[in-house]
Amino acid sequence: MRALLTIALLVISLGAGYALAQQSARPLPKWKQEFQRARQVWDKGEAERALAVLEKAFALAPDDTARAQIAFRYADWSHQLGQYDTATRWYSKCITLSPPGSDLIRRAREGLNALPRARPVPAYPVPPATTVPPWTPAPADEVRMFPSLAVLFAVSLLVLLMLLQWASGWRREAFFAQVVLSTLLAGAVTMMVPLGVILLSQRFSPQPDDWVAGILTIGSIVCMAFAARTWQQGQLLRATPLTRLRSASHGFLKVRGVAEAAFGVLTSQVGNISGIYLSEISQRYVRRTETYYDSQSKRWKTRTVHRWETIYSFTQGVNFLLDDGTSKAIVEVDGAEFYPEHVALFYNYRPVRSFRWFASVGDVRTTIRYIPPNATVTVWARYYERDLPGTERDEMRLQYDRFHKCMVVLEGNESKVYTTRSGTGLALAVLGVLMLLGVIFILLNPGAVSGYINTY
Amino acid sequence: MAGISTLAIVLFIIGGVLVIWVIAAYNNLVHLRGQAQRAWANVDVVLKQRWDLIPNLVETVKGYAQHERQMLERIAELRAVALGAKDRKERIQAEQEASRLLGNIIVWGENYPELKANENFLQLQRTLADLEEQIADRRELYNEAATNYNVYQKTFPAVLVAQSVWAAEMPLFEAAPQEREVPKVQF
Repeated sequence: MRALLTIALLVISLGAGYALAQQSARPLPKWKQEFQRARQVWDKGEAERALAVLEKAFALAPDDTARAQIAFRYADWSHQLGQYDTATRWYSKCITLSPPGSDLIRRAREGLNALPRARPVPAYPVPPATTVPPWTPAPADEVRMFPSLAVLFAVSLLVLLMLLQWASGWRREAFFAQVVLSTLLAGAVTMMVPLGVILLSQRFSPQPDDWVAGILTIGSIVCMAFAARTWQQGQLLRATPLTRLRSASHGFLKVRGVAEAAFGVLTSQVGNISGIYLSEISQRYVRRTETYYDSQSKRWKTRTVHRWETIYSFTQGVNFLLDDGTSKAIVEVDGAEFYPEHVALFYNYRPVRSFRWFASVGDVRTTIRYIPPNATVTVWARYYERDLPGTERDEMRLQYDRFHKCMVVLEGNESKVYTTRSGTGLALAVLGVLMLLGVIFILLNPGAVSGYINTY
Repeated sequence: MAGISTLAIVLFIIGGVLVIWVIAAYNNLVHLRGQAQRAWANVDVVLKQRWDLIPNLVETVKGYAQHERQMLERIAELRAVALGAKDRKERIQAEQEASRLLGNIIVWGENYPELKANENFLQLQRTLADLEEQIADRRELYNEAATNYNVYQKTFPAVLVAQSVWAAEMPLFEAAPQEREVPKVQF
């Protein structure tokens, strides 16, 4: 039975491989080869020759859709070369040849509008009111790819399922989880194939839409992942109960007590403030002359700006001893996230309650956030004990938890930690959703980004 | 073509992230499992040392404590069960019962003045107390590592990987039912 299944899998795999090979090995039509060659020549900087190759491709093109595509490219390059009359002529040609409702018409019209106003824009035929939906069918090649992808998905699913069954010792009770995992992985592998096929067939010339969609997809995934992690950490911090050090056992816990500066303190540069944690930033108000590009007049200009520039910044914490009334533990602050409550403000090195609204050039403002020695702090961290050499006593320690990727030292109200996490998580999730919507918009409106770039 | 290539890029990224996600989950699972196994090995070393003391202890005690013969036989049985245990859960149960009985034997020593004066018994008492302390320390580390592994096994997508390849929760050292009972105090 297993042997038959293996042979069947092998035959299906070979079939799928052959279909994909056929897909990628099919030669391109002559006009398309010339069209691609023109791009290569253009990329080398031989503009006039590239235009000549495009003319040849135009002559070889089998239908109006292909000619419209070439005409648009010709117009775009002429536009870039400053040959506005030629560009106008080819944009018009593109509009005439494009099928009604095509995106090329919109882009060609945008190109025409972007030409310098001094040049009279000749009348061009306005496409008739669309009676057909504004959708262009996918080229035949792409449509033919789907059966091959379906076969590939099925083959990957079966192969993965067999592998997992084999790895688990043919356990029946694991079958459901194995089907779900195989489907997930087979789906992922199949998703990656179309780009591979396009790359193999050498028809891939990334457009601005592709870049933007790719960057937005990555951004969306990263934002969602960080939002999920922040939310998880928030839940963990909220759910961890307060523990007494005397009855603590190894693992992640929450302890509240007095922070004793047993391993020294940090002292600020301004004001000589001492603390077990210190975050100091000094900024000077300066006047700068900047050069910038004005996109309206398309010229470089200069302007004078006033702003606060950071001249000194320092953030650090030192290990301390936490006394919760039942026992004492050493807190190793490496990797910890601090939430201090104390803030000291200095203006021109003098303590102030708040900063002034107006500043003069040369003014210096300093903000120091700190946790003073003997402050009451709450620590979320991993608790462990270490043998003290030469004694029968154990040393209690709190450190960064590698499993939960978390350690927090908080001075003041606990809600600060939860609010910060909820806010950050929500902001990241919203950003991720917005990016995802951007990707969907680009997928539903091909050429939207290119059109926008051409317009501006 | 532009629309298709955009879709291909988006699908490629999503597919790639899914594959990386599953691989990372598998690697984390293996890492945590390794940590829990190492923690168990550390407990095991001390438990074996304790079992090595048992024949000596039984030999020393049995001349004095004739009435607790049944208990001594039970310890000898537990030793056989623990050393031949098929899985970790069975082993942990045997070890926990052994800890309780050994504690009782040490307490009985107080009731027999001759035994209390026996140098060999006193030495064994000290070694056992030391080993029990070591076991308690290492048991906490094992419990932490096993809990991390068990919790991670239940998160997505690790749950799929764990259930597909091996689905075994690590047992923890927990208080025995008789240890959970509230002691009755009478005046």
